[in-house]
Amino acid sequence: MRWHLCQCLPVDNLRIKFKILEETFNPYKEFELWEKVNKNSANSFFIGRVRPFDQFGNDLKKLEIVHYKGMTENYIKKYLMKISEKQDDLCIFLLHRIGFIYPNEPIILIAVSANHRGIANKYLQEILEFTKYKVPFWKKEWTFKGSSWVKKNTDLGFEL
Amino acid sequence: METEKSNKIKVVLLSSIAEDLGWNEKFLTIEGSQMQVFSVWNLINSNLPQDNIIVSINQEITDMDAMINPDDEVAFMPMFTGG
Repeated sequence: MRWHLCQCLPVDNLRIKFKILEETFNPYKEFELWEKVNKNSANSFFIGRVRPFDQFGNDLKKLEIVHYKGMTENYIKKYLMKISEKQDDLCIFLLHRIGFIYPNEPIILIAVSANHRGIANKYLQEILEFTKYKVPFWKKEWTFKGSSWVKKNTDLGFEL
Repeated sequence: METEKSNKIKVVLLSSIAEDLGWNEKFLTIEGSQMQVFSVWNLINSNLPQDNIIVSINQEITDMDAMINPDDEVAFMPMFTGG
């Protein structure tokens, strides 16, 4: 399996870094590198991985994610800039895969740091829901029988 | 020298809509100076239901009533399922 460390472009300042990746990545290595350069004491991170089954319960061969090049990057950038302006101690790191992704490989890494845990956790959750509902990404599930587009996101798992 | 004004728009389809209609992007010539997004949708489509379709002009989300100008890029896409 290939791992690589991503070369993210910082947005305007060093507080926001994001990248859309076409190859798999090691979320722990990426997080470790990112954590070395941000000095906040409260760090939250989320790793989303590919489930081994599709929306109908069949064994999954691979997941495909497509995006709208240009628009997707701009929507993420604008949103992250907007929330970093609300909170001046916030540092955000976001990696999102596109292309073919295999069961258990990472789809997304979000890391947020702040001076207090509440802020880090709050914005981590907010950024995750934003990437699910407000950014042009689409998932297609490939099984050994064929493929189908995912019609809706999975549930949050609890009531907000 | 005065350059001739284009009357073409770029239409982009994404995800399941591209797959259902069998193409990703094409250029269309519009009649007059503007065209409503809804008219483009009717022109390219199809029997796909209009519900839950997200539209953008020049990569900014808008709605079916918005007007498209020459050289604009209009896109039709299903609900997002990333993250």
